[in-house]
Amino acid sequence: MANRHLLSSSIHQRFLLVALLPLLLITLVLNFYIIDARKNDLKKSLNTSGEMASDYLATVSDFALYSRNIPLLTTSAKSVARLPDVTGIAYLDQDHKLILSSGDFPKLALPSFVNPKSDQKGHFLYFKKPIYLSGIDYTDYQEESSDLASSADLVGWVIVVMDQSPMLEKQREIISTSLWLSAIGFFIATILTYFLSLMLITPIYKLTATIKKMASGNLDVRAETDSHDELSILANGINQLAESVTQGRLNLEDRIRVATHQLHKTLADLKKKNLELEIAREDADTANQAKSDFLARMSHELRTPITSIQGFARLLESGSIPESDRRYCQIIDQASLHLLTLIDDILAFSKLQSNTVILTQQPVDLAKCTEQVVALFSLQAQHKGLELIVDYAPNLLLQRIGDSVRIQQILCNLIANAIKFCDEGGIYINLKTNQRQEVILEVRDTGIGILKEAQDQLFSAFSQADTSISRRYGGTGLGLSIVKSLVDLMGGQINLESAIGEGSCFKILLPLPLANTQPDWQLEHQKIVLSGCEEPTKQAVVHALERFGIYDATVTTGEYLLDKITTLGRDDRIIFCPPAVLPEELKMTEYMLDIRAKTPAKMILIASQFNFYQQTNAKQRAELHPITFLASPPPLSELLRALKKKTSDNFVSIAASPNLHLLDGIKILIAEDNQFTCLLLDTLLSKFGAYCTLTSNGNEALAACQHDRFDLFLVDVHMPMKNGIETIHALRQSHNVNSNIPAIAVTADILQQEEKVLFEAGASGLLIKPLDEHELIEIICQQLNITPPQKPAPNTSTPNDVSPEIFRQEVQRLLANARNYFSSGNMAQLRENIHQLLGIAGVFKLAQLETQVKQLHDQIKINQFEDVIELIDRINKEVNNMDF
Amino acid sequence: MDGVTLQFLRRRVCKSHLLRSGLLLCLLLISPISQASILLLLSSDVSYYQETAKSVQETASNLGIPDIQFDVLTIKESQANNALSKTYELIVAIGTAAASEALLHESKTPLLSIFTPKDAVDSMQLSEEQKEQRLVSAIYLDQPLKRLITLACLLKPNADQFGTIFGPISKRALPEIKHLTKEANIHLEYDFLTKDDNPVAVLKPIVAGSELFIAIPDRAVLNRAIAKWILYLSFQHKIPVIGFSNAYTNAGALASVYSSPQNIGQHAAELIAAWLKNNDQTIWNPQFPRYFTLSTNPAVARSLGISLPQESDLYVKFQQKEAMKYGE
Repeated sequence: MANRHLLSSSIHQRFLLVALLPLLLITLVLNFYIIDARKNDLKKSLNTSGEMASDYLATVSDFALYSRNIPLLTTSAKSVARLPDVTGIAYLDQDHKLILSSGDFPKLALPSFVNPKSDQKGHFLYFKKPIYLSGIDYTDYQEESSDLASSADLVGWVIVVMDQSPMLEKQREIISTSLWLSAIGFFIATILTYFLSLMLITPIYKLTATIKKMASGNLDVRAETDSHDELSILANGINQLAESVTQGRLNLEDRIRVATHQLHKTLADLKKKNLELEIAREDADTANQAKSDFLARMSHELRTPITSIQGFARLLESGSIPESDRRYCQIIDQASLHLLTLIDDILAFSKLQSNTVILTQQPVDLAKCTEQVVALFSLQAQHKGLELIVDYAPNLLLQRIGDSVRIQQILCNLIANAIKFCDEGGIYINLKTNQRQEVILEVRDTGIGILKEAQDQLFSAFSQADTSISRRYGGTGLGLSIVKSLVDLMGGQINLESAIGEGSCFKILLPLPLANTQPDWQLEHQKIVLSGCEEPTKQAVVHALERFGIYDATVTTGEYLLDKITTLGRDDRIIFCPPAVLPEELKMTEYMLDIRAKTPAKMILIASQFNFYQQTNAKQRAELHPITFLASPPPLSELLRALKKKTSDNFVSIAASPNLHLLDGIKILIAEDNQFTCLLLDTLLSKFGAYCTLTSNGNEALAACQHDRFDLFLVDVHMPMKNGIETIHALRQSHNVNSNIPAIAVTADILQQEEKVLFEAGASGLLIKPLDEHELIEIICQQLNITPPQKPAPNTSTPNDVSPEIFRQEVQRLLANARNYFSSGNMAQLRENIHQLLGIAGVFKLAQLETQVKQLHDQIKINQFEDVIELIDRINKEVNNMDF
Repeated sequence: MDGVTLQFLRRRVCKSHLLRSGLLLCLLLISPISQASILLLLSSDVSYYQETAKSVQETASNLGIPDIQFDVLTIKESQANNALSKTYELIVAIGTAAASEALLHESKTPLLSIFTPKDAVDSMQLSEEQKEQRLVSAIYLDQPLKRLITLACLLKPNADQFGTIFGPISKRALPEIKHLTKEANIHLEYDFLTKDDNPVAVLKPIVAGSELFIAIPDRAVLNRAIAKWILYLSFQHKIPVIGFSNAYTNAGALASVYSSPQNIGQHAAELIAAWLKNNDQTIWNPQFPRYFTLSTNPAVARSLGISLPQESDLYVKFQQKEAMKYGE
């Protein structure tokens, strides 16, 4: 701290400090030394005087003392008493008895003053000396005349008393004088040092001031050089430096001026170039826009004729034409499909090649992302009789940050490829992770496999394993190139393992960062029996259970299942996964009824081929209750929900309130091609005690009317094969017991002209989707002359009775189909599909979803297809984010 | 000289005269003179003993008895060599300590003690057997009192009042000195000084009442201080002091008479030579030294206003007076 302060003070202060500190130190030391020396000298002098006086008296007083010659002793004493500081003298005999004393000092102490040679009492110093008899050599031969009386030499003592007071006074004077002299000397030295140092430092100050001025930019100022010392050399040096700096600055300014001029010129050139570039860019943008417009237009323009070609080819195929023509029609259909796929791929590839694809970084639920894609292909896989299994490794954290659309695009391409090149077996999608928590995505198929030589070229654009593949399976060869580009864009890696005849496995490593939050998958403990599952479905389910925290599920085969389930309680679960292709002898419904007879545990049925709602009637479903049907592969969240759900929450509800017996015993025939709507109607009506028979088109409904008697007919207007108007008309024309039953048409929208035709055809009533429970019951009661119930609160409608997940699945399925129809140019099917979507969109009173579906519906209705895909994606996103 | 002692010595010489004569005869017969050996036993190795021994040897040599072999040993050397057990014709003990050492040793060898104060010789106790069987004699260190009186009279011829003090030892000389002063018509002022007396108190009236003070050695009371005060008081009263040593003269006495080592050695050698050559028995009479030395202090003389003759003249005058023989 002190050092810092010293360093921060001015050079003058430091100079003074450096000069005066040693001086002060030396002054103090010398002062101390001189004072001490002079004090010692005084004391020594006093002691010497005392010693000398006492020695003298001891020498001269022997005779007088021996002879007790008091006058002589007095004379001797007086001679010594005249010495300065001698204040008293005393003579003692051999026995220390006082003989004589003179002077003013404390005499009482004398007799006790026996042993020491000197002592101090108060300010008096006592010097004591023995008095011996002195003699002379009086004999020539000492040995022969040794006197016998020599022992009597000591005759007494003399004490000289010295007063220290004058000495002490003198010492004080010395100290005072020394201090005063030192102070005056130091003061004078300080003043001299101050002025001398000022003389020395003034040039430095001037130099400092000059340098400060120079530092502030005034380089014209110069240091004084009127002496010939080092400071003058320094000043000269500074002046030279200033000269150099000034010169350098001038040079620099010249150079800057030149450089600025050049820069201005360059800037002008650059501006010109920029303008040219801007024009070029605008041209390029315009060209690019033109290209995009051209591509979009061409896409539309290409699609439209292809759709027409496809539509007419299918019309021709459905008509009564020769087999060879039918074959040609199929070829035309396939060629059109191929052409559409080619257009889509070229568009995607074109975007990737032009680097216009920008990845978004949003939270991604890998499970949802995968399951949505899988749902798109589940039908296709089902038609080809292929397993489609998704297996999530238990340690994979599913919430990531990434671009879900592009991940889905990768998955779409890989799964589409896998399905395309696989005729039997299945497609197995594994999601795993490594130690760095990166996502490893594997899509494995049991298809034809790829030659090793062809594998390297596989990710190149327009490349397929060999030309025969193009011929056999079609495709643009852009799919894997798109995948590779996307994976590269995400900073990932893609590998291929494949062997001819064994299948292929695409392994993709995606470095997707973890999201901040991960969902809690943990499930309360329960007994779970897993039956009928075969690898790798079993492994996928077991992994899912492990993710839910269940590690002790009992895995058994169908034949031992009945033995294992007898101990299960109502809160336990049986997961049953029948194989994709069911044995003919296995009657699933009966088998499940057998299981139900043995245990109250909830059954979870995971199947792809078995259509639970089509192959069971309401009575059976009631008997099977509690049961959950999940399409294979089941989404993780849905499986978790099924495992979590209390038995009373099942979508197959059981009547409980008085109103719910309103339709007891009423048999209703339902014709609805949309499974969800069908399920919804069945659920609602069963809740009120009605007994429903479900059919998926007009023909099935008319057939059912041939066998059974119904009290009411609920028919969807838009159905394939035979629509609702035609079906009602046919029913009215038929001559059976059901010909005159009330027929209520159900539709999402209807034109006025269509409504007229509908009622002319024989419809008894019209119900506009989305279905409202109260309106439905009211119109049925009205048709059946039953008193309708009180109108419930608006928010007590369907959502409580229908599983939101089923709803979500149905919407996703319809959207996937819509995409496929749009891709394949099947606009009629697209319209039908979107119509179905519109019909169920309002079930959960989700305004946003309804609005978007309505917008999509309206656009398709007026043949505006540009934004179809975007709207589908938006709706898909909306339904994914739905919070029920 | 203590008369008792002298008588005793004389008696001892007479009683054993025949025996000793026979013994000497036997010695002379048995051992020729030319073969005589003498032990010079020194009390210590101080210079004046060495000088005395040297003087004995040189004088003996000068006197024509070169065949005498002298063994010169100090007491310590003789003890180391057991010299006293050896056979000598004569043992010359130089100093009191040497005499005492020689007497301690049982021997029949004749013993001549020289350089020994008279009172020391007197105090030596000889056993009866020694007295019978051994010749013992001495040459004193002291001067006869007459020499002091003579010197005093020479230096202060007009004085008729001498002063002196006596100690426990020297008081034996009082009759003699009284006799001598009386002979010279001089009144003697004297007093006795003991150890317990204040010497100044005793000295002061004596000095004050005298014209000259004669210092008589006495080991019992005379010490360095009293010697000094004698001088101090005499200076106070302007009277001269006659001393008994050269040192006293140097210290302040006007003059002194004393015998030097050479004086005593010469005297002893002459006695030995006479005894050995001529069977002169004088040697066996204890005696004062034959030869003496005079010393004067001219500075004192000047301060006292005394006219002091040259030492040689003084010595001549003294010898003239000394020529008178003093009976022992």
